[in-house]
Amino acid sequence: MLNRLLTALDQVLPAPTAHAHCDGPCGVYDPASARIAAEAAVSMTKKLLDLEVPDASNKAAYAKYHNTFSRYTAIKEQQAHLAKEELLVLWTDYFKPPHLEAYPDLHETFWKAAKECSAVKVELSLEHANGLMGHIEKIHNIFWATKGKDVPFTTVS
Amino acid sequence: MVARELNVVPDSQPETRRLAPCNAWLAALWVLRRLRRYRVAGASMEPSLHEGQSVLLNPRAYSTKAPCPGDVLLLRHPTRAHLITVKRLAYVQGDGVYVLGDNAESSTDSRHYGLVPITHLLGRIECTFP
Repeated sequence: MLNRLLTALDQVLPAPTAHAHCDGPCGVYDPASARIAAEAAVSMTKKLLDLEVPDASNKAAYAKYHNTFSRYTAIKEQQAHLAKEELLVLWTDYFKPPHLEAYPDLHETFWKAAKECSAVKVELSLEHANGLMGHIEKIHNIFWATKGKDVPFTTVS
Repeated sequence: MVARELNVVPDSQPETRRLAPCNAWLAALWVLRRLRRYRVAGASMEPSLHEGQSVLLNPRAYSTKAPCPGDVLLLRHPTRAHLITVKRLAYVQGDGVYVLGDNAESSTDSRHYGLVPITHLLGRIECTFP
């Protein structure tokens, strides 16, 4: 009788929420967001390396070159930083101690990937850009293995 | 006043005992507003507490005695002050509490954010409701 009364009250009366979930309450994590940002940084690296330096006496062409170079550099900087942020969120919020037991090099992989993001920003290096993609592919494979799913690593470009 | 200068470190994981169901005495305390009702959201305290389950909080539980490892606590998140979380106390160290979710796979807890200041404690969960 008491139980039925309390159950009825519980259903009718509102109560504040006590959260018992992780920091990503939606539980939606996917290394794809880091991969997309990294791909954009790789693309900008390639475009910057392919830019032809115009004749300095051609003022209009020279101005256009500098404008384009600046834009590409800004986007490279922004996207490499975004990739780093996405990786850090995945590393600190999704992965848990049991994952580390299964993948002992998990921390080193993320650390290297984050370092590579910085290198992509600091330098204009296709080697670092491709290195970053390699680390992200490894993280992709580990992530989906922890989910028990076989998701092939695909890139836009 | 919450007890301070504690250093209670258990040798092993705290016992993840289930909370008792509400009885007439606790229900009376709730009616008298000595206990407060909260609804659990999330799965980090499974199997002890389920999504949508109601619990009764004793906000005065630690006014006269210290928290005990194994207690289920309500506390403010250490970095997101607006977020009220429910976790189980593993141990007390100085002015901080180390808390864990019973469901380690789906819990962000002291393994990630370390000790939580004891001042963040809001009380002890006494029972499920009803």
